[in-house]
Amino acid sequence: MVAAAAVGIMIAVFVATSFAMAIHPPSHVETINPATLSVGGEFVEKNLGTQVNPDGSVTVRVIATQFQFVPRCIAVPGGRPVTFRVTSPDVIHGFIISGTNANTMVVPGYVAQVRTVFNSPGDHIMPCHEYCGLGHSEMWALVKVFDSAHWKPDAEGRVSCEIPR
Amino acid sequence: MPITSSSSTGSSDSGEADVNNEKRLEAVLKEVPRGAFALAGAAVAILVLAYLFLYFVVFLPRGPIG
Amino acid sequence: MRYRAEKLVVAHMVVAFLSLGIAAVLGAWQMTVRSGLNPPFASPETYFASVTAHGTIMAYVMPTLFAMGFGYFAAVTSLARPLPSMRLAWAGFWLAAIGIVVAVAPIASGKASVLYTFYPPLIGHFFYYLGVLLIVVGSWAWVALMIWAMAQWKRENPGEPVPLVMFATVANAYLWLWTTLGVGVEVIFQLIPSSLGWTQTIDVGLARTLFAWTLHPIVYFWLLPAYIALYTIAPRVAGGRLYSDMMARISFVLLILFSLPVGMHHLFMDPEHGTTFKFLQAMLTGIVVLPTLLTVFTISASMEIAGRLRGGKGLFGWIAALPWDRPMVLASGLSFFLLGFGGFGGVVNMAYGMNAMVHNTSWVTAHFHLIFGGSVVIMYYAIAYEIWPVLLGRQHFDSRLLRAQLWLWAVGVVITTFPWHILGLLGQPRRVATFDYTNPAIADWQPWTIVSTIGGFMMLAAALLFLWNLASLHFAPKVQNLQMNYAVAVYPPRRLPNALNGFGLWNAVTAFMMLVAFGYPIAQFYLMDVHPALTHRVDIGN
Repeated sequence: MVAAAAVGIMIAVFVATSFAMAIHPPSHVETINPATLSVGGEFVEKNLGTQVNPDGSVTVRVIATQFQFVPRCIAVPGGRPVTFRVTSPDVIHGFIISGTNANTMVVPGYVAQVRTVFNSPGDHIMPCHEYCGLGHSEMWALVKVFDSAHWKPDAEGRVSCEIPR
Repeated sequence: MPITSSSSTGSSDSGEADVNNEKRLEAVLKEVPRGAFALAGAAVAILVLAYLFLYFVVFLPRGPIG
Repeated sequence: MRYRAEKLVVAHMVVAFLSLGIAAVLGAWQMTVRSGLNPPFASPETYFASVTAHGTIMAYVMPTLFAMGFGYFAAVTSLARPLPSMRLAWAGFWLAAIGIVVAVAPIASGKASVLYTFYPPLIGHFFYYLGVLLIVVGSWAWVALMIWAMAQWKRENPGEPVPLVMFATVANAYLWLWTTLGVGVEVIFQLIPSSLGWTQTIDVGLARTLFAWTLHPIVYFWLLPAYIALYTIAPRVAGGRLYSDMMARISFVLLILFSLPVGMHHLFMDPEHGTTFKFLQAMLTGIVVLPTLLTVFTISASMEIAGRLRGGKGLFGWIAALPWDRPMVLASGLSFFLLGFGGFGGVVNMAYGMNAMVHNTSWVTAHFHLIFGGSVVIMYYAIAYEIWPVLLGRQHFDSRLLRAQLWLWAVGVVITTFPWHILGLLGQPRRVATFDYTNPAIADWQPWTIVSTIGGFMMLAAALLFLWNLASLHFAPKVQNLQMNYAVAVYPPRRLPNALNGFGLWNAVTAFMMLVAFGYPIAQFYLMDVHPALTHRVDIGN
């Protein structure tokens, strides 16, 4: 019937792009102990932020707390896949990077992993979009997209930025 | 059962009016559901087109997610 | 009304509608805060307490009490018999009423600012969860009575088709029972122990998943009374017939089956679930579009009968020929119009990858205010306008104020929600109290937010006018022997298969589908190495 055809078309579109372009919701399930994030392991403070790996891929590690993202300014390269790995030591947060499809919930006890590509240089606001307490309204980060001319990782492959005052 | 039938103009008890009502209903049922198909079909078509527009023109250009 | 349930129904409706009025005031105030208009009393504490109250009332109090009252009304009028137990019905009402007070008290004192979704590790005061639980338990009395009433009637009328309005009401009762299992388990076994300090940690992924179990079918619990009116009242008021009784029953069954195992579409962006189950539930969500389209078609055809009987000709001429001066017909038309846009938002949300574009932005807020506030609540108003005269034994003879209220509401919903959709696409996050619109990155959000606020005040005005319209009926002339009549089908069924006259089979199918859709997603929390998070008690300043 017509109804089935309509539903069929809409489902077919997202299924097709899901397979052809690997477009799907973040779906990586990985647990982590929220109580010991700063003590040891991947999310200690000096390991947070943007890291260019030896194989050239880019990983951004962020923690979401009440009430800020650490780091608050996130430098990313344009035109290349960037993988965000995010977790929280306290409550549920979430973020969207405006103008892109990068979107995830951040759940304490889990590492959220989401991959995207930034198509053009510039600044994108990254607000927390899940209620995390009374300070939720103030919780915003900034994603700065650098084109290849301005992308300068240091000796350890790290890139950082500052939020202009 | 307390369900009583009623027409828009108020039910009348005369047998003749009932027969006329039945005849009118039969005549109308020859047309129905053409109009419903037209209305529902148009609405669904607009919905699918709007969905496809949003998907290809707004969503995909914003970059991949996975 | 012959079966002495008037007071019971009126009690439920009065609580439902008064609480709607209060929540509407809160909603309008919240919108002024978000628009940068600096209203009085604004602070994060008051804002988030208000959002908690607004959501708790609009999601748990108002629609529940409305569905209960309308269900009791449908049962006594369609089955022509008293309820199996008035004592149980009143017990359910008082339990819910007490629950409302118990839940609202801590919200008002700022000790339960967890929002109506109350996602842990944020934990509010114990009384908040106790209150919500009491409302749910009170509603289970209604569920029991609906099932019992239908069973009694079937025993006394063996082989007879259950009147459609009752069949659909019991469908909604079973749907509600299944729906409340998720949040019930979460509240009883996770949130209440946390709020009492019996445990300092909580499994957040499990809690979110249990809540997601409830979060989708609850909106169908809200929606079904509106659909019941579209199928069983609107065709008669328009002067037509229900196009197909059997397709109506099939739709209600499909709505139960496919509104339940789909809650994970609220968790597409969550890291505690993987692709397999997200994808499965996305497909199942797509299937629920089918009974929706079936309903759109069947109601259109029923209205087409009415329009053509009134002389409407051609492919669309029957639409103009309908008696739009009747509030129920007007509300039905407005509801359908809003359902088109609300449904569009819904299929975007469900579209798997595309969900990432809109998740937790104002698009989501826009979607559910449009579909619930718009398509559904407008039918609640119309139902109230239809049944209030029967309950009071009085009748308005001038329906202009009723129609003006419906128009004001519908236009208000459009002005409130359409800009919100745009704001969502611009990236505006949800659940934020204040924005710094001097920041050039978001300055262009403010004009849309202000337009939306104007719509919010129109909705508030319409809600208050609705209360006025109901109250003014108390001064209308008395009319004798007002009966409630339901629509007649083109071919009234004489015999029906058990599957369309009862729910045994469908409960079994539902159980199976819930096992498949949620079995592993819930079990996984016991199979993998989860690290519970520390609870954050907002009532003791944690």
